[in-house]
Amino acid sequence: MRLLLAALLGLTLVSTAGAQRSFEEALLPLPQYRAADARALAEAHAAELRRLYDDVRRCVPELDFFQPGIGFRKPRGKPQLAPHLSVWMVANESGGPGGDDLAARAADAFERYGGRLLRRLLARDPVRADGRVGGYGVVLSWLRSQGDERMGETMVVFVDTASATGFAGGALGARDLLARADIRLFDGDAEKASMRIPVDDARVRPGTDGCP
Amino acid sequence: MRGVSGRNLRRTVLFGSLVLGLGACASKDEWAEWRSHSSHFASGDHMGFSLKNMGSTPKVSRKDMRESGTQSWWGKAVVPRADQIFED
Repeated sequence: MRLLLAALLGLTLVSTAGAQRSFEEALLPLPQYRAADARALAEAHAAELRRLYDDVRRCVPELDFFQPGIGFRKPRGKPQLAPHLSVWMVANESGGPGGDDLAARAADAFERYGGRLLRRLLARDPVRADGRVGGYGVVLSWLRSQGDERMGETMVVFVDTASATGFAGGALGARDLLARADIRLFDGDAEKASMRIPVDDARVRPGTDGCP
Repeated sequence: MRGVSGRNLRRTVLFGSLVLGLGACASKDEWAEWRSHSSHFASGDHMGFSLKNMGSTPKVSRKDMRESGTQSWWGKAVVPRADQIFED
């Protein structure tokens, strides 16, 4: 009996290794929106959120969605900003970034996935044309294994619409984009003091066929 | 006799409620993850870690991080809460 109870307790801490999250699991449910402007955008662009899910699945298949991972969100501490179309993605252990420190791993994560995800967000034309949208957000978590230790790390990047559009159009490189972005890094759930992400423009992966 | 039966009944109801409540917390993927292993936990340390971290803010020590690797614990990595990232 005790073992069964312990196992059930443990279930609340384990999660996904195999199957990828469904759209319903990935989407931030409307009742969970507290900001009326963000909820209104989620209602107005429900079909685009579905297309975004399909697009990310097809173009960035190495990653899975966090639950919930798709929605119109505002950066923490900036409630005055307009909502940003955002995705929160998770890399499995084999797809996690490399590097000697958190900043280097974040740079590798952005080079591998950040640019591709931003382009998928910007591909949603009706959202891009909606003046109520303030920008875009990419959150990426991965599991770091170093020696015997394992820990989750997370990179958060919010950018305004003009900068994101400049990046997607080629007028702005990744380094310049990140210089304008609101960036936060977490080691586990502990935020690290503001750190620069030393991204290399030449290493930012372009889109693949059918995923410009 | 009747008193003992009543106490047993209360225990059964309490345990059943716990099981149902905790089971309801687990998602489809969590059940799948649980079934994919031949035991409930990788080790006693893994079980101890899970039991002491039932809250929303897990506490992870260097020892936990080392043991998670050497003992091949399964489960999700600790990441920030949504309210640490978003202003919803």
